[in-house]
Amino acid sequence: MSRKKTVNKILPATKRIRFANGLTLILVEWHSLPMVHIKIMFKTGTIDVPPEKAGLAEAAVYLPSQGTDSKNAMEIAREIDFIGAKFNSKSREDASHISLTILKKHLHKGLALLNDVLLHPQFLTEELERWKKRTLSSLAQEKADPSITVSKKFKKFIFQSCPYGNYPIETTVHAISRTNVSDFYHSYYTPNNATIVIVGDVIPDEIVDEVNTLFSKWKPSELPPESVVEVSPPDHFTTQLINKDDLNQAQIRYGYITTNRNTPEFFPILLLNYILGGGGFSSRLMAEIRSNKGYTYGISSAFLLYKYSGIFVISTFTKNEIVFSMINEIRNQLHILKNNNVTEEELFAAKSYFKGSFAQKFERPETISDQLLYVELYQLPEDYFDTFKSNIEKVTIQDIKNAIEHFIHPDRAGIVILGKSNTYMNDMNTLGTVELKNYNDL
Amino acid sequence: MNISKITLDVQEMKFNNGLKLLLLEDHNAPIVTFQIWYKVGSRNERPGITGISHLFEHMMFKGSQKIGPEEHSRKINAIGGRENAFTLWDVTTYYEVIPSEHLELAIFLESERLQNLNLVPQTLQSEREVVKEERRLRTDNDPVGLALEQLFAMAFMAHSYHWPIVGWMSDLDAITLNDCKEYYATYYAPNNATIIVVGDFKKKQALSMLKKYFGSIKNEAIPPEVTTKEPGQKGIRRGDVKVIAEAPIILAGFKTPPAADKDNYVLKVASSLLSNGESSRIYKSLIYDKQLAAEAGGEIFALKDYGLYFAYALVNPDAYIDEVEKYLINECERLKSDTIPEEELQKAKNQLEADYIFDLASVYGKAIQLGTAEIIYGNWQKVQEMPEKLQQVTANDIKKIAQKYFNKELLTVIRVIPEN
Repeated sequence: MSRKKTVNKILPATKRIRFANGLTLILVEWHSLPMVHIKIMFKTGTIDVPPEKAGLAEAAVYLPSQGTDSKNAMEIAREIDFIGAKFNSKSREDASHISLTILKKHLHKGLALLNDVLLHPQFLTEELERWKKRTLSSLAQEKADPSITVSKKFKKFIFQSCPYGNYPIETTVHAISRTNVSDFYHSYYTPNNATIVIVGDVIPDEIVDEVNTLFSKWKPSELPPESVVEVSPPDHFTTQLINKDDLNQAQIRYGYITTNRNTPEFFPILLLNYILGGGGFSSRLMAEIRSNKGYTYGISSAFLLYKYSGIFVISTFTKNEIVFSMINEIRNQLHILKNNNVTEEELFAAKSYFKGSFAQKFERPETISDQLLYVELYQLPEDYFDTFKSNIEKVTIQDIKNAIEHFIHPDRAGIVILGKSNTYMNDMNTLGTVELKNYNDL
Repeated sequence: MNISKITLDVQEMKFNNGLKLLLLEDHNAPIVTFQIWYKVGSRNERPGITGISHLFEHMMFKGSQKIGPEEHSRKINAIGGRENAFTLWDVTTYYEVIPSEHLELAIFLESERLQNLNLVPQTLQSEREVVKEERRLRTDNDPVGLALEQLFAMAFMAHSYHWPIVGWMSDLDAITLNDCKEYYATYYAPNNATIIVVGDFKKKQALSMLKKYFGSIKNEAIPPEVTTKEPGQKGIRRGDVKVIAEAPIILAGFKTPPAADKDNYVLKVASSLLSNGESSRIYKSLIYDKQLAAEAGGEIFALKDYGLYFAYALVNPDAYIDEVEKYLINECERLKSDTIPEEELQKAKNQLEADYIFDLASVYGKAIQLGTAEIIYGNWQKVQEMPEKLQQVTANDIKKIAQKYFNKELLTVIRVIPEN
């Protein structure tokens, strides 16, 4: 399928091809600067990794750039750096990516390099050990960041045994073998599980053949069966306090399990969340808790919706003495929302925001590729972008009321707080069950 | 090697009230950014009111004669735009990125808060608490933030780069409404600002809107100069920061010249040699070969009055910190005696050429480059000159610049020591 016309000149023309080995290629012309962004997405991530091997998807997407049949890690690095390219790899909940941002004049070298990395990875034991050592060092450094630490703990607390909540720790990193990495790579990092998006100063017809030649020898393989773990939400308040005595500010995460990305109520949820806490100063949480009360520098809400599940989370921080007042105010805001719905004015402003900000999603090669890959990942309709604004427009105040009914729960939540626990522990005990952990034991 | 040439067709103008304008049409997407850069930042403060530039930036969102508290943000959001502001050592910048048809709204809103800001005790009190939370977030409870604060405080003893942009906590408590009013009157004037518009607009129309909203704003007396000079450093300075953590951090900062100094072109190439990409010297030595750090690299803070190149390492928990420090500083010092091979030098230049193009990919990015060059480096045209200047750097230039700046007399080392 090729898209010829554009939505109000915003959406770039795309050319989409599926090769015999199952690889999908999407090409987009963007001629503002002599540069090209290439992003390859594999539909795998945390969700496919056994808990005792957490970190495996990251290792498998990172190690191909650390040695191929013909080049070692430093030779690859020098090649990338010599042409001024930016190479990245990343693994997330449902997807893993490799990307390359490059000047147009080096495009052919860039594509050849990606071909080498993807088709001929070595997974050298020496490089796996190097990755393990650096990952453990990064984890030790990250632990000093209260915001990162509390977010990881919260996800685990809410997702329980669902793989989305897992993250690498010392034992899981050590448990990853070279065979694990190689097997995982050859199971999931395959052309039939991959989409390549190329956005930039290119003429699509001129590079289709080149991509085909480079990647047609990439062998497909049958994907392992999907396994899904159902998680049940708590029916009351349950809190985990992590104590760290030297913090003069507590990091707070508040929320629960919610629906997944393919919910039919996606657009009402998008608008509802903007009004509640996703819209910066236009949201209720910022207006009440930052602007009026001065409790925090930042508070936001989000529905993080993945393929099989999702979480609703309110993220904020405040000085230890204010923690319980903050929790009460959050609950108060959720009650107000539950009892009164949003106003027509709020809904109108939220719709205006999403319609007006649509163009910004398609400004740069990186943002364009992210948008297109999002549609691929969650198998959204072909006309997702063409109908985006009308889908926003269609949402009624009753739709929002229904979404509140289904997804806003003022009387139950999982809460994780990292701070000086004894300042607020007694108060938190009045709310429900409290589990106390020491930062040093994490 | 042919360099990717980018011509920026910027129209430069000045209104009679001293307000400077830089306008650049870019019709790639139906988006425009409006930015107003005030030539004031933490360098213009004094002990007792440190952090006022940043606190005042917050106050600029709290309403004016015609606009309620945070209504500025809400109005921009309601058209699908984003807006924010940032305060640095030398500048305070406010910006909007909006659908092109709404440029006039951004122009009106910025002109309104430049002239008619409401400064009242209640909003100062709540915003003071918000900023204190921001300080707790980014500095008090963040080891890297704490270390950077210490680095500047120790590297600069007399000059106002000594104190943090967010300010000392006790000063945040002490700043009064009168301090804010005086600050507003002194620094928020058309003759102390530059407006940058980049994106999908027509210059002629934009100009008439700018004239309508900004043209008749009265200019003010020129703000006082920053006169304090930093005395010469006479030897290495060292400081430790103890925190409850598992792994150490090292920051090693060498004093470098002001942003406008041409040595900065050479330093940029040197910095790229040291830490741009996985084949760069610091990465290869500390992360790849010796496996002593999770992250390591370097960066130049090229500021109006002075600069600081700092190398850093997020050290492995089991590494010996003295050894890591030695290797980190050694990589910088090696540039004094090494003759950089031609291929390695070309690699660094190629990376800088590519980074330069990548930074221009959005209207916001373009405006930020123009603003930084105009206000901090002294002239927006330096954005265009940069690629060629960087290509002219020779191996000998690198050696000379390293000899001049990468020596221990100009070095300050801050180490975050875990106290577990």
